[in-house]
Amino acid sequence: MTDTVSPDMANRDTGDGTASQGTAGNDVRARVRAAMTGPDVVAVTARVDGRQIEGQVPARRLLVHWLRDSGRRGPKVGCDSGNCGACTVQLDGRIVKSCMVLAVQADGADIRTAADLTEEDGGLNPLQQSFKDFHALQCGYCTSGMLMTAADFLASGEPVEEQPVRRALKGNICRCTGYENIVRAVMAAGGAAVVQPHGRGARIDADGTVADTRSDVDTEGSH
Amino acid sequence: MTQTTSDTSTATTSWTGQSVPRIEDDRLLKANGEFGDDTPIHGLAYVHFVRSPYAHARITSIDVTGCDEIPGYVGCLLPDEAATLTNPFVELQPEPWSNEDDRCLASGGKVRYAGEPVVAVAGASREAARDAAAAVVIEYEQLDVLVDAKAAVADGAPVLHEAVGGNVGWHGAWDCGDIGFALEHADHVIEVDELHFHRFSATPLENSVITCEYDAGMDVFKFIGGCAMPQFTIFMIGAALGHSAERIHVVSKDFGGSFGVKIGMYVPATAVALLARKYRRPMRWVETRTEHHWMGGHANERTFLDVRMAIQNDGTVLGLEYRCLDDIGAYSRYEPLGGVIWSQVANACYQIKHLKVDYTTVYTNKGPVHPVRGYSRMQHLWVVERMMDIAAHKLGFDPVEFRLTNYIQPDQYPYTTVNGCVYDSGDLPQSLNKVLDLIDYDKMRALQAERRGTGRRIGIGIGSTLDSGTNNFGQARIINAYLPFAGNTEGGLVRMGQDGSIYAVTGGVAFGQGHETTSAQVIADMLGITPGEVFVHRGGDSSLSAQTGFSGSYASQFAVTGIGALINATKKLVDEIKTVGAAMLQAPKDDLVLEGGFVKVASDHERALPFAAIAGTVFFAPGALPDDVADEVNLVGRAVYRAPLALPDVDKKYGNLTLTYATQVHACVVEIDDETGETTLLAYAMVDDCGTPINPMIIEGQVQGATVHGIGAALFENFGYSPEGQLLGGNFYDYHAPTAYDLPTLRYGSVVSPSPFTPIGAKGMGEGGGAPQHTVCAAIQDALGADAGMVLDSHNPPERVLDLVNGQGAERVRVLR
Repeated sequence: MTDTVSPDMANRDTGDGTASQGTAGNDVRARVRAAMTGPDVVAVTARVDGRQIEGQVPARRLLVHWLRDSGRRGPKVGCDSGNCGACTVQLDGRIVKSCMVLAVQADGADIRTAADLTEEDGGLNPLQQSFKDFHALQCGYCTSGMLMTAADFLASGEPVEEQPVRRALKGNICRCTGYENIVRAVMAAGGAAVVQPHGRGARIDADGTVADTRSDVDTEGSH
Repeated sequence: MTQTTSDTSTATTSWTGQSVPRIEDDRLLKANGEFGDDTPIHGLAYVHFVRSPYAHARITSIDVTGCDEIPGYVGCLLPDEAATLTNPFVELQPEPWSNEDDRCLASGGKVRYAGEPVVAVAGASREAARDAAAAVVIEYEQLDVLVDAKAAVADGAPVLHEAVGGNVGWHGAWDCGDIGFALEHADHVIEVDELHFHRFSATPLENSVITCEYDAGMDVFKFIGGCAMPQFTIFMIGAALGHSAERIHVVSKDFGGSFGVKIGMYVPATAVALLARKYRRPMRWVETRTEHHWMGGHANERTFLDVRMAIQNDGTVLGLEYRCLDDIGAYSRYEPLGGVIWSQVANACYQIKHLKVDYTTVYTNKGPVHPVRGYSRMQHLWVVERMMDIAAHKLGFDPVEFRLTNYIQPDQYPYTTVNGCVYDSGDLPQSLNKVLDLIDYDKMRALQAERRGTGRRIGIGIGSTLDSGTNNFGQARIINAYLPFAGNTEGGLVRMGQDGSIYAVTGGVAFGQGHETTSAQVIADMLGITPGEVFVHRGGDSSLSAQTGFSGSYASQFAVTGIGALINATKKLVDEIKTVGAAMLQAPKDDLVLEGGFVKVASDHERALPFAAIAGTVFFAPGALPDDVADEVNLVGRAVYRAPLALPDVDKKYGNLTLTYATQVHACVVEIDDETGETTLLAYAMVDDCGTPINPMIIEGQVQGATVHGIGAALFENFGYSPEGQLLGGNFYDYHAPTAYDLPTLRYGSVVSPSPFTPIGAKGMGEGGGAPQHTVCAAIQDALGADAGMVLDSHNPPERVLDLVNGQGAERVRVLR
């Protein structure tokens, strides 16, 4: 399915310098139009989550901003410096931090964001379901990037064990979960035997203690 | 796990207490959440702040004429204009400290920290705003810089706020019991010259995003973006702008973390509001990572001086005393509340009888402090834990026995502390025993002995902490007797829609704590439906009549206040449903039950009406109801929860300052490389006790998250400053937030000591109390031993550990007896 978005639409108040919807006056509008046709504006076409996107993009615009401006909420900006991984997307089959890629570099590329992980019927895919089952997200801001990295790891053929999972996720920062449940969710999605989270069907003993239902999980130190 | 979609007709289970999967997750997993920069706004312009490159300087000129050359430049806001259009932000401290002049842009012709906003520039796009900001030319005359609290209070120090008259922002003294007598007569006295709790923050992954729309026709400012304490924000912005509170509308949607710090968002929000009004155009400011680290809010950095602890031969700790300098950076903002907040946990986890604290709030040329997870209590808890740990080592007490001896015992609750706080419940000995099992304590002691002398030494640490929750805002009067605050309430609203569906909104504003789920669990139980059938409003909205003055998510309170308010609101709705049901079913009201989405006659379940019939009648056929029922019923339950807290005695600084005290006991095993100073966590375990659980899975998630915040602070995260006042951790390269690869498996256990003071026995627990800082420091000390370097700083990167291995700090610790 091709969804061709006109340059006007694609760049509507998207940070190109357009003021087309604003009230700042015709002079600004004219100047912006002039800037848009200058040498720094490049035509970019990419396939994003299976849909063709076209736009006139300032050469300096980051891929993450272009994707977000075109309505994709998966990639997030968390650090501006390539550390946090919240902007992780798949670009021609490889995962990239889309704040480290210029939109013009993605011309002709096939891009997949977290929104595309969902099953065709709109349900959660097994990895997403595993994140839900294991409470692997809290605020959800890092989640799209985590899912993209985790999906890439699971497709890599690396052994689905704790250390390889932790290594694979080290480019993605989460400030809420402490990673423990993310690691479990990824391992479970990869087929490893991981006991369901604490309290899922747990009992509260007469003395008030809660049985740790994960007592049979390997709890050796990681390194 | 399919509980949320199970057959409603058989929903007789209690949802409260179960690990129900989160309602929030589906939209977030499908990238359908709506975070700050996701909200589409027509005609949006962007704001960029021009910030000071200097830590302390006088502004000599500002030239914005270059901005006109930038395509898409909308306009700007200058400091003088901000000073004309706003009042100084309300200060919580009394005179003379309240003379601080804090505005949304640099005030009084000065900048006081590197990164302080000086000019706010608006552009039609992100790029236009940035380009225009780059065209602003500001000239400065540099002033002497203060980056050390001790230097700031020394004679002749340069002064940040001339109107305050010095760099002290507040001062208060506590003298509980008789520490002088205890120190004079105790069998042992340990003295430490100085300990330092370092500067770091929670650094939520989503930086602040503030969108402001100004409706000129209605004279209403609407703010959209993460706001952790909405009515406090309205109070601060309303007073600054001289604008009616009801014409300030604050909306939060999905919200990428706050952990306290976003309570300070009213400062930049005021500048965004002024621009939105000036240019009649919606404005959005998207904070960068570096901006967040400069001014997004640091945790209180605290230097403890002349610390003395009195201990008996049998291991009983009598008490301690210290002076401290609390470095709040350049502006007080929510401070000096930290000056009293620490005293919620005056006793820490121990039966001490004597405590003397001399607390001074100090300005320096650093980023301002905001409340951060564990706010102000973790600093005090840390120093008590360090002193306990140092005392055990120096006097040769077994580290486990020493703690067990001094812990408040399970049969002593409710326990009144030296300053009148009432610890509600707990079982610290059981928690400690459990956590030691989780790290295989005996095995690890054997490993430690085995490794001795190999250059890769092992240390085992214990950290005991409290997470005090549900503030008594009356404690603010201990800071300033003229503040009007007292007690605490939260609001909630639960209503039935025209088709019988249920909607709820709470005054608490969640940013990852799963409030939609826990709210739905509790409401579902009361209405006899499933959590999936309760539509809980996302985030917060000040226009929805669900907020009180203290609404919000901070201070570990939602499980008490937020849930309490929703319970009270649901009770009202249940009563209305039954009133209508009684009329329609011709049955006595007290013979009705709510089950599976029906109101039923308990004695005859065949006589039942679905909620849709109740709602449909109230909405569309009120004339079919008896007049007195139609007059009374609106199917909206709105209620508050009031925490039962009395005003403290301000003069004596005595009274109960928080309603609940969740406990956490952590233990860890570290390995230290003698050559590199690198600390590796071999094992880490936590046992929490937050009373009756609503959703154990969510509780465990909060414990894990708080644990990694603390581990990060203990080993990696530091907002250090150069002598010139430049922040050394301005991005995630220089400020290392832990990754999955930095951490061991976290081992979790729990103990349940229901609170006798709360609606369902639950306690607030999200902050965690900084246990990892206590635990990691204790483990490093344990690896070093008693006659060695002394761990006197909460931050221990390899370079400091190497110094410790070489004996650093030993000279600052003395056993006087």
